[in-house]
Amino acid sequence: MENVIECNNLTHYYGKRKIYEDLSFTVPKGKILGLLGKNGTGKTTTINILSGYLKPKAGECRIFGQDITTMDPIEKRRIGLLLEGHVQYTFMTIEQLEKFYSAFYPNWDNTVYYELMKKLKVAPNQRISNMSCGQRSQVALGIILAQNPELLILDDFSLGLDPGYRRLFIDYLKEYAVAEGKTIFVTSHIIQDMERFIDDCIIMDYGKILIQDSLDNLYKSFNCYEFETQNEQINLDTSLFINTEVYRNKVRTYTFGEDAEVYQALNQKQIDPASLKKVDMSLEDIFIGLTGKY
Amino acid sequence: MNSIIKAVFYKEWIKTKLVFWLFMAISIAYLLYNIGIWYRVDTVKGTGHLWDIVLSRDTIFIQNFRFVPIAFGAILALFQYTPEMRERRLKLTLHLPVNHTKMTWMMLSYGAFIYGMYTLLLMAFTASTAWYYFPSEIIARIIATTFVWFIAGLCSYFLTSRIVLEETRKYSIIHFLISLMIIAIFFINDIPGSYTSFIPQAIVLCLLTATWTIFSIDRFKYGVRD
Repeated sequence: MENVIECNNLTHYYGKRKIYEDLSFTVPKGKILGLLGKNGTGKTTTINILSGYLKPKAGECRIFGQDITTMDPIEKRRIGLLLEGHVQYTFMTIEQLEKFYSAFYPNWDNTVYYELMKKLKVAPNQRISNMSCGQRSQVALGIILAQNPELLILDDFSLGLDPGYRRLFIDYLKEYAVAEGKTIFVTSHIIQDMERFIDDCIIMDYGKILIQDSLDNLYKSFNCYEFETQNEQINLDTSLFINTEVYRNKVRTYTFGEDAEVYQALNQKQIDPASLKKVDMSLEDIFIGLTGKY
Repeated sequence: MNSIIKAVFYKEWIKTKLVFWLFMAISIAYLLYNIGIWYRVDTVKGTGHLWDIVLSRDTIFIQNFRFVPIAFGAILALFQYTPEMRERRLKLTLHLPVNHTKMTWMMLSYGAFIYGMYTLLLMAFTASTAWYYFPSEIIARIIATTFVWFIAGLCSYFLTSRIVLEETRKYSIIHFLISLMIIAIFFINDIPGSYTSFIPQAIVLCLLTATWTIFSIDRFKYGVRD
């Protein structure tokens, strides 16, 4: 499958603090890929590198086959960028914003923009600075969709939005992306939103990527087991059990292992099979399972 | 490209139209107040006396106005670029499908154009008023004197742009100090006409300060910040 984004061996430091080293990932065409990670793991750094606002210390990022640092500016027509916090020119009105942007994009489609604005029930001459955060998010989304880009890069789109606006944003965008075959690279700190939205995900921890896979594969291959034990100092094989949480006599452990493998390993630790149960997991559980709570 | 230039000018005009009209009104009022002295001297003592004062006392009566263009240049840059730096909105501008150096030049050109309009209107106003009172030699002296102030104002616009667009505190302070020194060059001597022979060098210096803004934009683009 053709890759729209290819990042190879990215390394970045802020001063002496390493953000990550030799980070590599790809985003296939037509996929919605979510970048998940705790605060400070480098999500926004990655978005900044991808959008050309940060030069990594080493490595390269290619979008549509072109190195982002030397990309032909005309190619940016193919990339829609949503900045964290739905930043827009707040000194403009809805109409002025549309008039301004339309000059830069030959495929500009103002119907999609005004369709979204109609949902907000705001006047065309309303200034963006007088709108709520939710309304601004729709304006920013409308501007991106009207550009008709092939790739959308969305940095923490859920920031500051109430559940209604988050749902509106996701549903509208998902429908659009699927219908038009768009590629989306997205970060959000609200993982429940990502669950409804993305096809694939990258989960980052400090300095590295823990996993890149489709959500379907993750749900199938990553499991959580709960059991009870009297031994609070229980030590499980960390090559099989990625992360284990012990609270009083209850143990919760996460693994990519097969059932038989897990049962055998726990049996060796004299775990009562009657107390052992497999737990259904949401994407948030998977995230916590892979990265830990703290 | 034409429609892109129009779009950039349209955005910049939205940010700066208020300060343009405000300063135009303030500047005309201030000039009128100072030019009022020509009228009073001319009415009370006669035109000959007015010319005598201008020549013998080295004054054109409007020296008080000399700091207004630099104030306008600085405030124009503040109104144009502060909204871009708030929430780092400049990222939106630099993400547009135009080379970022070209985009910077378009934004600076807008500022220079608006400033040029301001200069042209005020100089035309001053010269046409002076026409009633003075011979062409004195008018030329008034124009040469005020023109240097307007060049200083344009420098102030470019230098302030650079300071506002700089994201690191250290460089902002350095730019500020350098800017003060450059602007001070225009005000070492306030005798009318004393800078006439310096006008070509002043224009070169002004164009040079325009190019410096590109470095601040480059640094922003590549994420250099505190």
